[in-house]
Amino acid sequence: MAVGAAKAQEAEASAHARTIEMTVNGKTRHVSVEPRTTLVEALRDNLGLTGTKIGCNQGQCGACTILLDGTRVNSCLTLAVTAEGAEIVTVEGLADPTGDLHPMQTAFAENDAFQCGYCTPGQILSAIACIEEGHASDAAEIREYMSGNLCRCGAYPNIVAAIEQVRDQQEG
Amino acid sequence: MATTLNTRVTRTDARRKVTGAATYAADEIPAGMLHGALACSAIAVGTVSSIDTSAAEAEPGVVAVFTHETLPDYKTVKGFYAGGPGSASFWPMEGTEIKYAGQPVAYVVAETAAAARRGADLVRVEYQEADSRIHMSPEDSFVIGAGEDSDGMVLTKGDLQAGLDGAAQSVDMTFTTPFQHHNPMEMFSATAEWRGDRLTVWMPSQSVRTLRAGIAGAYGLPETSVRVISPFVGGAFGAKAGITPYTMLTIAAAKGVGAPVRLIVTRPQMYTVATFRPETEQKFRLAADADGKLTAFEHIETSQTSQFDSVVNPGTHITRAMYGCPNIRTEQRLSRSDTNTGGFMRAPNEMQTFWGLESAMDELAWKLNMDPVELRRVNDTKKHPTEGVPFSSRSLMESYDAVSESFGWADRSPEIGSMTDGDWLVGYGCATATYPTNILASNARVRMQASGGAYVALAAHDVGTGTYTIMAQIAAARLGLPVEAVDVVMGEASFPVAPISGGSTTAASAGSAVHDGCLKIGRQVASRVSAMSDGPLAGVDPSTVTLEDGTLRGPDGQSQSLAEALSMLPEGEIEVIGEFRHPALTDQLVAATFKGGYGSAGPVTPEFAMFAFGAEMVEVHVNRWTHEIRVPRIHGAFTAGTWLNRKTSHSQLLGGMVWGISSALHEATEVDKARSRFLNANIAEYLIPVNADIREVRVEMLEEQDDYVNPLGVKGIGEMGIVGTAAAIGNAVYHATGQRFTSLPIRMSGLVSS
Repeated sequence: MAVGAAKAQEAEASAHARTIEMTVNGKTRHVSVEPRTTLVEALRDNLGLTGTKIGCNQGQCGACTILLDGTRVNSCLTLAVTAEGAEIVTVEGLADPTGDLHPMQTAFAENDAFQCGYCTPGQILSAIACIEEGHASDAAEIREYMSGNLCRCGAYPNIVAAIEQVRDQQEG
Repeated sequence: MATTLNTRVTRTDARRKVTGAATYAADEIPAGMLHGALACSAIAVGTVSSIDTSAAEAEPGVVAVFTHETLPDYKTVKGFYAGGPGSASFWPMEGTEIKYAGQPVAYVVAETAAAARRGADLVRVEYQEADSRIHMSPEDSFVIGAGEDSDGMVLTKGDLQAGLDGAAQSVDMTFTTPFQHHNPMEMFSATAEWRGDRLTVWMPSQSVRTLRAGIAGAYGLPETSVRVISPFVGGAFGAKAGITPYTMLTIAAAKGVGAPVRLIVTRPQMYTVATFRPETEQKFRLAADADGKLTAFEHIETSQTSQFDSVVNPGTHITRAMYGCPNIRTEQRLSRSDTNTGGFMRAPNEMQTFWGLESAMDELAWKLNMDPVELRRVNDTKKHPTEGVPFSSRSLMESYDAVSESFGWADRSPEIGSMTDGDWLVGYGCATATYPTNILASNARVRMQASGGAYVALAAHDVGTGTYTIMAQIAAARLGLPVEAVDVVMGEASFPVAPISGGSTTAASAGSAVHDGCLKIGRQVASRVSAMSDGPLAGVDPSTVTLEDGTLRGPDGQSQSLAEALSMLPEGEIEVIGEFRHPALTDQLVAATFKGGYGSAGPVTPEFAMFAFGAEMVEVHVNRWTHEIRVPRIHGAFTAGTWLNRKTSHSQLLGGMVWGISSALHEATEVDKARSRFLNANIAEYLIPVNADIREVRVEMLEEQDDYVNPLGVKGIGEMGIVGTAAAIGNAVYHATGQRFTSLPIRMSGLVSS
């Protein structure tokens, strides 16, 4: 282990690590990352925000979806250094400070829009953006614009119901 | 208080799941944790001639690179199909032998996940490659076991030939199903931390007791020195049951570097380092008289297995239970090829066999010029066709009648291609769903406090099934508490034993242990308060007191709420261990479960055959120009004894039907025959339905009473939804187009222009 620890320190010094500043869930955060560090790994491993999940690390499943400057992105396909200065919202930043859930979180819970819950943080952020973008006019459009977020448990009809519920509340 | 069972209750863990607070195994980051990564073999069969780790070791951030020559204190366990807790009998990195593509050959530990992955890429391996074959060959197959009457692997009843000879119509069809991979959304992971000779493992698991028993046994440690923690599991479907090589490699690597190590298996590696659904062939010969009564039933299933394990998921044991027939023959065969060992994937005995059976039944109905629902009706049976015992309950035709009504089956125009919707050919199809009711021993700790709450602890798992919620509901109903007042903790091996979350057993078996614990609390509290000098139950014979919805009731109308009675005890709380031991469970089966194995009684006991039943109907649209295939609606009606939670049950059946659509139209692990590799080893090219693929899914849950299966009257439902779906879709495609598919998945490329 002694060898390992010494080598690790050496690695830190030589691996071109740099410190970036991001606003994460409303708070300014400084993170030391390598150029190859992905945003999802910076959020999870450096900042301890493990609500954001890794489902493939290849940009295929959408489990790592977060909002970056208001746009939904796969954080596994985003290098952390490119998020310098960005405003990031993860699932941990949705409920208000008193603990009241975001309407989309409530709608997912009420409609049982998940089973295992692993894709859920990404689904919820994607769902919020789906309505924001104006891509939730009917069930068919929601299904199309939510197709970047895979759910192996097959909760899709309940996810659509949850999004329709929030859309209707917002319109009402 | 009204019972909370058989209602729609929102998951008690919903808040944690929608806020990101639910902690999955890989969310645990012990202090000083390092990151692991696997390097896997580029060939399928052969030997490793040399491994050059120098480039990997020179990579900044890499702490250690372990190979079969350098990994210290690596232990292995026996494979599941050899009676052990492991996912396979062959263990990589014990020597130079390579037996399947993607077999781990080196293990890199680094400061960051990125450095570990880069290190793994830099490991240079030279091989001597030998010939290999990835596909099974039914011509080169063998019967499991000793043949006739060996665990029912070959079974003959009546005279099959006579039944074939005298029939009005018969079908002789061969179906195939591909390799499939579970692909839970949560990637496989293992995190190991040693503190002296005490070990903690965080790993998503369907069986924390199996893991603990196996790991402790391998290292010669008492089970109390090993903690296995898995509070939330991001989908499992059978993939997270056994001890895999990546688990034991991570434990050894953590020991080797003297720090906690977390390995997250990459999505492509998930295709080779754990189990999968083996490819199969299903041969059916069915014959019937002019009224549709079956006169002959033959089913031969051949399933792929590895060179070093015999994977036995006997589907013929389920198909032969479906329909009454005097002449039955079934045979269970295996064929070896060069892969890792497969295993159980959602409905492991049923998905592929019911694709065959229910397609063949449909073909027989066409030949008989009979409504396929009516063919099932005339062959419905109240007795198990080969075992002779009655079904404890069987509501197959009630399911068909309910789904026919909701779906509008009567609107079906029977002629092929006779229904259209613009450019779309429309077809209707149906099929039977079923799932055996497996029974396993379980315990559960139940504690109730007079201050108004209860605590339930057991080593069960919530793999998305809603287990946290239903355990709370059961305790709440029995103890007379609101569901929110019951805290349930699970997913840790030190809790009282509960069975493997496999075979749709948890609600029935573990739930019955919680039920028993609550009744025990009622009896013990009644006994204490009846001995007191005053109070509503003072002087009452405690053996005559019953507990109903949180109220203790004496024989002459005396009653007291359990909470109130409990507050009369000086302790103000009571804790018991509830136990479920179905009379059909032998000591040997109980022992197996307590040792971390799968000690299941059923689905056939000396008294009854126990199965849940359902019926599914689908509408398929096939575009006459592009051959695009769509499922605009699918309806299912199901019977499974008592429904505990209509919201989470609905989700399980819905999810099962989506899996069925996936098997029918989407998923298959493609194979590179020349190099014996799985080809589409990622979650974009391995097709599963996306949101836009799933439209109307209707689930109906019918009432049924079964007093035999367990005190709650519950049958497992986690797997039933997938069973029969693929055949229902294939049957609808036939109705729309006149083309009978015998291989899964059904793809537009397989449709011939008419």
